[in-house]
Amino acid sequence: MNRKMIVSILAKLMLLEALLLLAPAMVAVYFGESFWPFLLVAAGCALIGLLGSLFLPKNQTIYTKEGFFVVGLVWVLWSLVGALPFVITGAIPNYVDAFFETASGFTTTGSSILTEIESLPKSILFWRSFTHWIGGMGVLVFLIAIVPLAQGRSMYLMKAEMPGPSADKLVPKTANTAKILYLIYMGLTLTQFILLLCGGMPVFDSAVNAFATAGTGGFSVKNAGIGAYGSPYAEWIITIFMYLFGINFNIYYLILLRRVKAALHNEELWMYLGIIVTSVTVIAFNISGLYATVSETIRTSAFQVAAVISSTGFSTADFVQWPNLSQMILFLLMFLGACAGSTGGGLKVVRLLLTCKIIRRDLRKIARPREVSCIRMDGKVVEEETLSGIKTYLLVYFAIIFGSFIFLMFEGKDVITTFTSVVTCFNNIGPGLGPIVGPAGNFSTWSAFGKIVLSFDMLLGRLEIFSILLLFMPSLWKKKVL
Amino acid sequence: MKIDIIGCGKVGRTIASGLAGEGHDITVVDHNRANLTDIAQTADVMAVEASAFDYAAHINGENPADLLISCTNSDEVNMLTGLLARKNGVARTIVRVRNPEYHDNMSQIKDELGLSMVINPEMIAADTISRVLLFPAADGVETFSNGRAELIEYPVDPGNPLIGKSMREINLSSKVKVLIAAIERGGDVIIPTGADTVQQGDKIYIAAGRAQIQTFLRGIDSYKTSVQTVIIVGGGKISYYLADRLIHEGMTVKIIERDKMRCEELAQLLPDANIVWGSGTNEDLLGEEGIAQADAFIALTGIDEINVIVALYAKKMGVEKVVAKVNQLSFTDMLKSIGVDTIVSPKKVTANVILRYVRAIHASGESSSIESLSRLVDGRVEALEFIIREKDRYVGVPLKDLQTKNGFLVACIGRRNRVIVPGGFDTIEVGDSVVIVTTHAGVTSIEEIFR
Repeated sequence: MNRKMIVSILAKLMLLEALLLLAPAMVAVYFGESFWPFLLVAAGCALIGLLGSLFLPKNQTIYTKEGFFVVGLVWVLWSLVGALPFVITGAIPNYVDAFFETASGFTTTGSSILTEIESLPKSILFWRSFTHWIGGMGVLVFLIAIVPLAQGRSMYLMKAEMPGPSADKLVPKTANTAKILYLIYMGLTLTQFILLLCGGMPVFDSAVNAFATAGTGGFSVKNAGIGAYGSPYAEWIITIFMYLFGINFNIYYLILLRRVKAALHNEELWMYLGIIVTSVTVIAFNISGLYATVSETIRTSAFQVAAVISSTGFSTADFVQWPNLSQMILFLLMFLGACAGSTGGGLKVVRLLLTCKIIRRDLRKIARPREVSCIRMDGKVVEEETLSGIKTYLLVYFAIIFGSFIFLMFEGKDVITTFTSVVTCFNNIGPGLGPIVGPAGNFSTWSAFGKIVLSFDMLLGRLEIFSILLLFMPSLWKKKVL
Repeated sequence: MKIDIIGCGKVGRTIASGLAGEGHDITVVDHNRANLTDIAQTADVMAVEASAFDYAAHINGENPADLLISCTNSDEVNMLTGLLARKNGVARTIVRVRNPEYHDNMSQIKDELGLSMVINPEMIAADTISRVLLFPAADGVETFSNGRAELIEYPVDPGNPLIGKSMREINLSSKVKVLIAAIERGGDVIIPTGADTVQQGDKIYIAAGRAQIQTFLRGIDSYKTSVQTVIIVGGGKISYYLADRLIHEGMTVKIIERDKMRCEELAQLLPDANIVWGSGTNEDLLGEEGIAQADAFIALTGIDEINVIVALYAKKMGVEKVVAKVNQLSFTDMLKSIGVDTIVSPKKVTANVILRYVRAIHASGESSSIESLSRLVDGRVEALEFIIREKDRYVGVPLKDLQTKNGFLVACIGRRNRVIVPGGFDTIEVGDSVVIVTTHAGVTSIEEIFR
């Protein structure tokens, strides 16, 4: 374990957080609010960052384990530090609450402990939504895009942070790959921002909603969520962009290169679209009695499916009031999540796709034991190693869900609330089911212990489990390899 | 530069990580995933799992690579991949061809296939070994002007007659003209002027023709280990190329080969060599063939471990210069410390030659006036070879009238079959190949070095 190099990268990341904290400070200046809490934390970060970057380690080589370690540590660290402005401004006086809120922001979960949102300072609301935007594409991907890191071994860092079973390079250099991803991300965010502005939404609201959609986060600046704007246009724009941000960014890159055929040759994309169309249709029929017009029914159904499958977690309707079938579909979509390589959370469509293929092959094997076959995706053979990795992932995934569920049951809440809280946090969605944590509720009733467990579930979910789990393997902390 | 590397064996990997480290955009292609995983984890490159043909056939016409290097283990695949790549718009191609039959007739099809460079690892390895034997006192040798000019790295050990002498004195006292192009002293690099002196512990870089350097080293009594008799164990392709060169230089060569058929072949190919049928691992045989009297012993069998062991045995028997070929083992430092003088890895030297070429085309950009670019002293000194193609303001002017900028030096001039060590009255003419030694990186034309 190359500890010095880990410290050096973490120091650079602290400098980056200091830089990012200047954004809400400027918002505070603009709205005439107090900006010193942000500057204070930024100065602290900068000081620690500068101290850490003073000495450059001689041995700059990092390997897979350092990559995972840095990623795991930095997300915890950023959440711990990012919570400070909430506490200092008094917006969220309790530090554990603030940590939950920040972790929920960076991991793009969007679960909130706030009961009253609209009265908070604009700069605080901005910071809350801005964390979604930063966390969506990943903090290390951002750093890799702007500073050369770790002598050509930065792929280790990126691999640990990108959602999905494999991170592919778009171009030979990791730094350029990261830049392209961020440019696509910024481009899409900007487009959405402009489209929202065109629909008459205020500038501040357009910006924070675009941030929350891009990161597939789901923090809203209104108590009643997106429904508060009462604008079908804005709802449709946000719906479409939620679906768009749930698609693998490699596809956008291929489209930019005008290789549309190659872009559409993606099984995961078609499965994602298929699931969306099916879910929207079934839910629309199921809730048709609850809404006045057909267009409102379809809009609401499409919006809620988008909010859940992209793991954003916005709401225009309190779906806790919907029939059980619809609630069940949404609940299942919470597990599924979006495509690999997108900003969405959850299990990822590709894992479901490959699991289905594994099941089909193994069934055939029972019937025809001598048949030799291999699993293909997008026309390419998938290695057995990848497949067994997916099986392991599924096992650990459910083990963590049930483990957290049992821990939280000590609090004595009902099964639906407890279970959906874990599922929604772990998959980075936002709202759960039931009256307490549903779209109309919030997470403030959990104890400090419950909030910490849920915060870790969010971090585990965002980093696809292993980066955080590896932090708890003492044998890896050692300086020496042996 | 955008570079595709086809075939990700040892050569491919060495080139890929070397070039990626110098900031190029590298794509490596191999059909074996294990090879790709290895390189993708240690270097910043894009790994593509595909067959060589398939990849070359699908190169995108809009954005092709600047250079494609094909080094799969099949000559035929390499040549055809190179051809396809050229057809699909790749500007330059380098292919590896090892079969001597193909290689000897390469000049005919090289242009036909549009290849920029054809490399033969065995031939390059033989060149490297022959240079080591020609300058036993040197630590390293770079060649320029198609092998006519050399730049040798020479350590100044205690008691060397050069110590304390200035460049001017060295020139006056020596029978032949050589040029000390750079001095490495305690981590610093000096491009010397006439008044600089050589000190103990320096490493000096001497430029001149081969014969001139030999005479110079003999003059300062540093050519004591002049190699006259050589024993080569193993009769593969490298042995053939090497023996051919050494015989040409007037040395006596004895090849020990295990396979009777190969012995007969070699006897036909090399009429002046002494071919012995027997095992190079046989102590008695080695003694009988006079291992103790040989000036140099070269182990070139196909098995690394045998090469190392017989080389160590030769060292113990008192052979002055011992060379072992090592393909797979990566313990070169350890092997040197236990007494093997020189380790030659054909794959590594091949990779170095390609790196040198790529640096040259990268440095000269579009103009392609740089013929080759070598990095010395951990890359702090560059030795560039320019071909003078047209008349310019510096052509025909005596060097003393052309004011050279600080940190630049004209090290030697290759004119037709001669090598000129430039003095103040020499001129640069059209058609010359000029070697410049400099501490400044990023020179793209010879124009830049004059005031």
